[in-house]
Amino acid sequence: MKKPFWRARWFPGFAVTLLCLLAAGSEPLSRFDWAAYDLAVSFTSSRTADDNVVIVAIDEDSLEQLGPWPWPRDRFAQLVHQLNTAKAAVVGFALPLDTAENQHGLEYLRHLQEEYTDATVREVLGRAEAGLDTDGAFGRSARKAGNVIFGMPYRFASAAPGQLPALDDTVNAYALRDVAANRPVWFDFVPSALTTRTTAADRLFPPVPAVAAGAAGIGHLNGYPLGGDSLRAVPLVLQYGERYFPSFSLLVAAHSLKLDHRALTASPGRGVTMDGTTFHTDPAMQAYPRYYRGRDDRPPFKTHSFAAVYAKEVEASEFRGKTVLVGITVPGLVDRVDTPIGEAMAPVVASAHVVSSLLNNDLVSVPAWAVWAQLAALLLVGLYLMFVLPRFRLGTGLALSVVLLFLLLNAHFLLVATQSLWLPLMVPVVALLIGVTVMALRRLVDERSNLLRGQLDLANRNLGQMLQAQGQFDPAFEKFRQCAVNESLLELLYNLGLDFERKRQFNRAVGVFNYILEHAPSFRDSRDRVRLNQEMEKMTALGKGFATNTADGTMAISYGKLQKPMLGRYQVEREIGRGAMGMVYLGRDPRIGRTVAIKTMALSQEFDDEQLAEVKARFYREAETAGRLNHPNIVTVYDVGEEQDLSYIAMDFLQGKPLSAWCRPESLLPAEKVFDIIIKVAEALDYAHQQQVVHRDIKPANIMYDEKSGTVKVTDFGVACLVDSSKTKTGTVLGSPSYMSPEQLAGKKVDGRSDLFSLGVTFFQLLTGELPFVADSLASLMYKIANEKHVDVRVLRPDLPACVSTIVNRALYKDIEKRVQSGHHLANALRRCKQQITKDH
Amino acid sequence: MESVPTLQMSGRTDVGCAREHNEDQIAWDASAGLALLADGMGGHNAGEVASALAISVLHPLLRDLPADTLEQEVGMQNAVADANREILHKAASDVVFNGMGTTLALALFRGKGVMIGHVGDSRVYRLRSDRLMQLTADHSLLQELVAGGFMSADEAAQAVNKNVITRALGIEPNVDVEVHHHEIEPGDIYLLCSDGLNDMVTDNSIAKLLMDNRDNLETAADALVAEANRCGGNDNISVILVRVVALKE
Repeated sequence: MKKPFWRARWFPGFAVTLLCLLAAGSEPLSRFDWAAYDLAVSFTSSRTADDNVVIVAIDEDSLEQLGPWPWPRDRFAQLVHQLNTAKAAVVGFALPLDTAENQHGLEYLRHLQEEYTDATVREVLGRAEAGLDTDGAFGRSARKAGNVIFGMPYRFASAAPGQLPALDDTVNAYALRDVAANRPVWFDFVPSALTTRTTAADRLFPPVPAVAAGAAGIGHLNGYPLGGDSLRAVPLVLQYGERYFPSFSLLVAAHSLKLDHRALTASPGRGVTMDGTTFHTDPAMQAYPRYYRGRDDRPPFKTHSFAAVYAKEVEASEFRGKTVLVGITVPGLVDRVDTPIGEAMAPVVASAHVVSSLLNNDLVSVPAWAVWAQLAALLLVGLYLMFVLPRFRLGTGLALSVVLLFLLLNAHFLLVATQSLWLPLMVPVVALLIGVTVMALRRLVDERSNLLRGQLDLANRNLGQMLQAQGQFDPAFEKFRQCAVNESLLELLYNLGLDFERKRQFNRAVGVFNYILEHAPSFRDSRDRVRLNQEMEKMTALGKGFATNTADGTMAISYGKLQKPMLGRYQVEREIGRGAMGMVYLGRDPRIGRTVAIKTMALSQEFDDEQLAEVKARFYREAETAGRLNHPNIVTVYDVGEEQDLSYIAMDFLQGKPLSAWCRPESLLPAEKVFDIIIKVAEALDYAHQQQVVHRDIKPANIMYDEKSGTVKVTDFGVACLVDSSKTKTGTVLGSPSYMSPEQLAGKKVDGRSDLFSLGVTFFQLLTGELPFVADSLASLMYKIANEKHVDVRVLRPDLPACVSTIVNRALYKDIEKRVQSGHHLANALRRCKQQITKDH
Repeated sequence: MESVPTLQMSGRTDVGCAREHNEDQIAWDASAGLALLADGMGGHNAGEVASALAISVLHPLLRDLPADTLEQEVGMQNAVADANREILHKAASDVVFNGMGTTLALALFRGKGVMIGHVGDSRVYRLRSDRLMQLTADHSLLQELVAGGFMSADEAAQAVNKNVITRALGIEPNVDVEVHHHEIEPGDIYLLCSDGLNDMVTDNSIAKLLMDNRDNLETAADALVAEANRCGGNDNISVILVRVVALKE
């Protein structure tokens, strides 16, 4: 059985996988990756931070003791001096230093110094200038220390930057000289932060030149939460125009190891190499630092208040050989940044974490093949959803899926924890979750709908069978078509096809058998049946096409392998004659094994639609009346019915022949036998007339006579009325009116006496072999019947007694009132007359 | 019989003035609604034998015929055929009876009608109010000449060989009785007579005599016979009178 591809079992898995592939890299899916990353990083945050990193915090205490921010920069000069004295390894200022201090006063002093040449004045002014030139003091102090790194904030270039402001040479000096060829990366894959482009800035805010002059290094400050909503990734290298700048943290780390920016080599898309050590980054040159948690309620990094250090309250030994980071921690002055471990921290603290990660080589790396791993995992999940999951039952499938999910998540966590490798596997995980859910739901819905479908199937099937039993084959077929096809339904359909065949509805039968073949190309002999029925249909069509007689309810009978045709509940065995309006068949009632004669009438061919209903109603009324007749000399009517456009009457199947076989002069019956026959017919008519049933078509052909047993039966009661009324349609009388009474010919009301006239004609013909009224044309025949006296019977049969003439004459009276009035009287007269024959012969 | 109307009947048969034997035979049965009249012929008393035989055969056959006119007709035909057969049989049995035969007039009353049959020149008349009507046409050469238009009724009355009949019982194997059905009315008087009456007495005289004796069939019958004898009485004279008193539904 063919299903559309979207009904296939593999389709949901395929669809989910494809959707996830397309949605990968979009914001919602990235969130999953970030969340998983955060979780993994949090689990591994118990690593210890590098204890060489010390923070000097400009905290609230410092502001309280030293005055509000901003401070004069000579305090930093002082701090640098102190730390230098304490032999700190590196001092990094994670502060924005891009604005000059006291610019107006200083400029004015410098102006005055140029005006005055007096040494004393110049000295005073020089001291004043030195006092006021805090930036210069800071710069000089830093230069003297030689290990001070400054940070510079930057503005993130969201679009490709146009013309960039030129930078001071002091800043440009720190651009990386050694940048490996920027390898193009053609793919752009998940998650969205893992962009292929190196993080770029369209604006840098370096320290003022006076300060910058004393720097051992200037690097960009990481203050911006890149990669989602927290500081998961930090760019180790920042692109500004064609230059690449190392980050503040990287420079600090380098200097901690007695290296400087010249030792750094950037390989865009892969990472940064520093003296043999490679810091792996994602394609955007972003590193994934670790964040450390403190132990036993202590922060991960030793932190001193600026004020305490400034007041020399901190032992100098605290800073010996340490990497000191200076920055603001007062919440109001800096924006805290979120971190993957869930703690918001001041930028300087975050920088400490990054530096520590670099120094410990604790970075979580995203390998270049992460994308492929991701793709492979997604493919794996897709294949699993498409081909593995559908094979299992729901429970098993779910268990299996949980295992797979566990494996994926574990791979993810374990890689981060043990290998410091991050593979963003959440898209496959999501695909797996959605896929399993969808398929499970689909299974549930399927089971439910299968149950319903099963019930509906059963109902339709039962209904179809009932309809079929009632002979309503077309609706039955319709019902069966709504059922799911299986072996037993095919059986039912096959039987329905045979039924159609029996009812001579060949094209319908072809339809049914073809339907069977659609589903089962070799079901029994369906193929042969289609062919047979098509041939039959063709024959029937041809027969109709060439039929000259419109009223020909003919049924083809013998066609080899075809099912015996059915009329109502009767099996049609063979053709036994031709009636006024259709064929007569020998039929059999299979239920009680009764043999019947079935007289058919193609009423719908005979009458137009307007008349049809009325004619049918009358047909059934008359047939019902005829059916009530119960007389030894009247054929028994068992059943009337309709089959397609064929009306039929099922009646006693009689032995013998119609009297028309003895109507020629050379084949006459002995007069006595004729008398016996006519007496019986007269009695039968008398009985029928008493039941108010008029035959209307008494003639030798409608009287069956069995010579052996002498049985006489009048047939076709209630049928002639139809022949009669067909006059209105064609305007002609069907058949010969030779047996009709004058009043019947005139279209007047007929009663039993009209039947007696017809019987008189029959009597005459049986005795003489000739008709009493003969003419060349129909018109003159009708005239003769209505007006002329017939030839005396005894002119033709002088051997017969006078009473024969009397009886014939009385039966053939034109005047219905003078005619013999009842079949009974006729029979009595005949009996009397018959005595004369016996006496004479 | 229940279908027989209420009737009064009377009859006379007389040898006449010229003959030695009365060859006529009459029979009536008011309760059966049947009146029979036969006029025999043939020498050596053979005519008497034939007419008597006819009446004796016919009477039991006709007496019980039903009301249906067809059955009556057929029954009448059968009865006449039987009588004919008997006479022929008798005639063949003895040379004395050779050539004997008889005419026939019969009336069978049922319901509202009467079935009248006749063979030969015996007649049936009907008097309704003051009009006498002959209901039968003689099976005679004369009558057939008249019917064929060869002779007028007046010429026929003057004809010599009035008594040549064309149809009679005992002559041929088959004899057809002419049968007609007539409606009856209360007060109708039906007269069955042999040619001994109507050859002697004119229809007008018959009518007058009947009307004069309307109330008494006996006197009427006597008057008719007397009038025929008065006029010559050349042949046997027989009459049967039937008066319809009431019809039967």
